[in-house]
Amino acid sequence: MPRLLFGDNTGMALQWRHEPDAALAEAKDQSKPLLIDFSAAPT
Amino acid sequence: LQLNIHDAAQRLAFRRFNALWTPTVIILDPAGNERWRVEGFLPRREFHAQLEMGLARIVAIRKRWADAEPLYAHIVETFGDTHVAAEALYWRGISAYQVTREHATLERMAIELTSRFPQSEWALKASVWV
Repeated sequence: MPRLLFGDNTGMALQWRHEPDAALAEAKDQSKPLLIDFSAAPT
Repeated sequence: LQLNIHDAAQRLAFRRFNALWTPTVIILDPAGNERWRVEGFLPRREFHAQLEMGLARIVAIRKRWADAEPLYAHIVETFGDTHVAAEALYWRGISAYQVTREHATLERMAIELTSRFPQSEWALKASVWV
């Protein structure tokens, strides 16, 4: 049985990045996918 | 890895990635190619299924079919009640076919799609094999 790729813990802390170019470079360096969330909610 | 782009501060990034609306979520492969996009809100379970589809797509588009098939199978099994289930079933069948090259695999997938998701566009797409 494959594992849940995103885990099953909805309380999992995410380390959000905020600079697109740096995040893209980091994803490439680590050979990891990158999830981009575009939001408009007040921060 | 996760990147948040906020409308108020990063309008250029919205244009760069053609984000038209919020929320929008894009999944990129490690090379920076867009592989999946979700526009608009979805309930948690539906959203989770979409994310799994995005990662399975990254594997499939590399034509790593033997790796993609169990990912799609897992989505069908775990998220069979969501709106991506029919698409996952379709790609599970395609992945299995690419590994085995047995045409009967496509026929079985089409029959299952027609049975479980008769109103889906994926059942239509698979109807050519029934």
